[in-house]
Amino acid sequence: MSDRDDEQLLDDLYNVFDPFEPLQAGDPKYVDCAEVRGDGNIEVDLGNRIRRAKRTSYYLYSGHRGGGKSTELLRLKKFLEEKNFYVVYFAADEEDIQSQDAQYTDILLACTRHLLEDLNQSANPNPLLEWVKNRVEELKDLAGTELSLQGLTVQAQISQVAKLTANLRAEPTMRQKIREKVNPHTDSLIEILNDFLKEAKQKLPDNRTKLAVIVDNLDRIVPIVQESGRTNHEEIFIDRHEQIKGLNCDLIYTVPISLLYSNRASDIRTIYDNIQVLPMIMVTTPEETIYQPGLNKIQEIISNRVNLFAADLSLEKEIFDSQETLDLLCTMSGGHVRELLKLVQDAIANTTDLPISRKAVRIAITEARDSYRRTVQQDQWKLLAEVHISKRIINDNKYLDLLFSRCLLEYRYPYEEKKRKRWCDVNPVIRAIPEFQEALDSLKQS
Amino acid sequence: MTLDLIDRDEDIVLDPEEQYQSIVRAFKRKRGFGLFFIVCDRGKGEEIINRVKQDVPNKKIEILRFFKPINTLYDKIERLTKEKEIDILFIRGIEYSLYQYELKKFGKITENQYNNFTSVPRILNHLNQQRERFRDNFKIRFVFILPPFARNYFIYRAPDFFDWSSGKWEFPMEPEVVEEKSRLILMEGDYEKYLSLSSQERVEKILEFEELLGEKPQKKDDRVGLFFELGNLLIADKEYEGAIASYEKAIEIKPDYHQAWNNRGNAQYYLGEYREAIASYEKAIEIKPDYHQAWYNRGNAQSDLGEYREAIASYEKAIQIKPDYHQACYNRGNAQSDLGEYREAIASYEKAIQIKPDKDEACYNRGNAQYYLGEYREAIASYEKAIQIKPDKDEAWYNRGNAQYYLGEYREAIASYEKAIQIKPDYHDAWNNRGNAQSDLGEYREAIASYDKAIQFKPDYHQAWNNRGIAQSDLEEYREAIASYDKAIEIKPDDHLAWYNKACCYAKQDNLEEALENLKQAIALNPKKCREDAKTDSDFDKIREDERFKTLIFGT
Repeated sequence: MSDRDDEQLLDDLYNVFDPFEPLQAGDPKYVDCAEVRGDGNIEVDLGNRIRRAKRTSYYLYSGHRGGGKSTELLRLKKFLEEKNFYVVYFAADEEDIQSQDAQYTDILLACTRHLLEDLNQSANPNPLLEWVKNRVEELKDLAGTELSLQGLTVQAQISQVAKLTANLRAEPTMRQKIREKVNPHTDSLIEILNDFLKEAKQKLPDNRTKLAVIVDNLDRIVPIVQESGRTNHEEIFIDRHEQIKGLNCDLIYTVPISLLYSNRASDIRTIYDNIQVLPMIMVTTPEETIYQPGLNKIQEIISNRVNLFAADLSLEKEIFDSQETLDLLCTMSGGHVRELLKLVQDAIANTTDLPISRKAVRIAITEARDSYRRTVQQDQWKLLAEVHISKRIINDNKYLDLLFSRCLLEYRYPYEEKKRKRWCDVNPVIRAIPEFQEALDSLKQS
Repeated sequence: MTLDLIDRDEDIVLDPEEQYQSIVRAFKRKRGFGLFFIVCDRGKGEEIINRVKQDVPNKKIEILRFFKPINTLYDKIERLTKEKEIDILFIRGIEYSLYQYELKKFGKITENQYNNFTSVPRILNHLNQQRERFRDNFKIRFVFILPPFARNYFIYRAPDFFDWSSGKWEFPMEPEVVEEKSRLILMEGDYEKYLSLSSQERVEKILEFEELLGEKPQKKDDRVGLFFELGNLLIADKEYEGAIASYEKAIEIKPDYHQAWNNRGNAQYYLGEYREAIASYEKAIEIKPDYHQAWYNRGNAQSDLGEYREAIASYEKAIQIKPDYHQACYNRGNAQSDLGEYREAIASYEKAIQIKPDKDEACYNRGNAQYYLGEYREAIASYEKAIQIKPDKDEAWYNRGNAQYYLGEYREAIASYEKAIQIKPDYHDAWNNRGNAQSDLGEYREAIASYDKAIQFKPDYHQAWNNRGIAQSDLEEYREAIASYDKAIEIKPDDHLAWYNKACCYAKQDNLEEALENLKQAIALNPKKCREDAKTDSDFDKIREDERFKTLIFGT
């Protein structure tokens, strides 16, 4: 192969490992990892449950940031659509949520806005718009807002809903006042919204018969401990669960994995009909050995992408300098897909000629390690060492940060004796950090 | 492969040039949208931008610089893309949007105390929530050039945005640069200068220190000095807890650093932790027994605890070491005043004035001590001395007026009060006392006008209401007077004087029932004084023979 091609190939490879594109359902780059993710399958675990449920149900979907949640949810959407569902999927963005003090109302309004956008042909949007108009009227003095729904088309009126939610994120003092005005009306909003849903379900687009809403990105609300000592996540998903379960359609909310390990994890399990976690791909075992099936899957993720440009090259000889280098890379990813993509991309940035050398991979690992090291506080090394030894996390708020920052990862053994075994470990790149090793040593001595 | 390899995988640290080459390769290869982070100091950032412009040809490179806080970035990029085509966009100055957050925690950032964060900078919330729009709408490689502290903010407060990064490079400062910068920053270290900085400038300066301290290679002495100066800077910024932590770091490395002990004491003092402050000062004194500032500071902390005897001893120790220590003389005088030892206090103030003739506070306080001793003439001279040094010293004018009043020099007193009012128009006590002097001159109308002013500036000023009532009853305007007393009573229901004065008004008007009723109230509140006064008060002459009055005044 000529140098010119080599350069081109490295460019292509560099870009195909971009860490920010969730795969659309059916993408050839997708690798089904169910067997190494504890046999979890979103189509079965959530899809069939939703399909068969006799009453409206509320689900939580969780997993580490960048672990493939959005990719899986897009698959779920497609699955449900094939089963004659109309699915309103939206990723809550800045229009909807100001993470600093996100409250249930924000989520409800976000749902309102997206349902209106998607379903205003199926049901009469006027009662909802009337509600919005009344709120806007009330806020006029307070927010000095120029908002008006008078004389606008339905489409334009709907777009004004976004402005109402934007108002909720005014300056902090004003925000509180505005909330106080809006919050007492959430019950009536839920009522009107449910009427709207009832009507919409009668004539859904494309002759669909059932309705489900997927709210993605809620895990992007940065956890903040409130004055009450609870996190904002707890307040939204536990304290206000009556409202969050108020809408009369199947709902799937994404939540940060740290919530599921909080002090109140058991409350959550009784509140929601089902909670699914997307575990990491198991690359090691709790017994401290390499888990080859997982490693193979990771390798498949890499080769699926490489094959788009160089199907004829050997992964462990011509793309990487050896199987050992490839294994090191795969293990260090911790079975976390985005981490893997970033490591490969970074390794390619440190490569002038193929194959990618062990050194280039280790430089990428060093870089990743540096970022993780910065997220760990002095007193947390001991916690990490404890989890590394016990392989489990008890429900306690002290682990929230570590789960949120992906220093701790959750895995699941494959289906075995009708029981799925959940276990946790530290992110592999952390293991070689001296502070961690010191904490581990002192723990082993005591 | 075994997991042992994972546990032993050592870091591979690239030299700056290798890192730079990796940046160039990434920029050449990356197509479409991408996020990159380069962590370095300002100079290095500029150098990288200039080199990239040379080394990455055929790409349209732009630079976006911010010097002020921003809440959003998307709209700015959108505008920019309408004007020009961009492949690589360097973004500098995001840190300006972060300074205003978590100021309280700055002292702790380098120690990773992130779970204490209580808010999310708006720009970071924006980036975190909007990342999809950036990806979908801009085919641009965004390169954020960040100082180290800002990188931490991204990791913690825009984790999802940061997680999309295709590359992050860290350029620690070169050891020579660290040394040079440390030298400079230590050389220009000056508490007075720190005080003159704006809050934002101080924060930037604090971060400069922290960044230097965050660098690994560093001379021990430099490190100690940096912690010490950082402590001073934090005190200037009223970040006392952070300052204490910083001094303690300095002490940890250099336990006999007496200035650090002393300043730690100061920070504790500012926090109101006087006991702890005294312990710090004593530690400084233990290391350096002739450390007069520490003795002096110890005296101040003791004064604030009300331990005036001990404070005086501390000040004397300081004066013994440094005989011309006028602050210590002055504060000794204050402690003596607080003990009621005015003679000694006057001597202390005179010592201070002798050392520093233009010390107006000492002249003024000498005046007060003389005033308390009833030496009004001398007090007036002292106040005049203070005024001579500092003509706009309103309280000296005011107290001069009081001293003159006691001497019966009402006209002069009024002139003094008016001077005080001229300097400080809402000086309600001066208005009130001006009224009193006018009353004593029989100028009741003018007096009432003065009281009205006093009340205007301090509506709950019950003494002024009372005085107003007295002036009105002197004018025999009893109804108005009673209304004034009622106002005083409304503000202070146990104001026996107001009840008593009201009784006088009714007595003068022959209203026996009301007079007795009000007098009863007054006596209930202060039996001794009110009975005593009523026995001889001519206001009650009209009702003096009434049996009920007699019973009230003389008992049964």
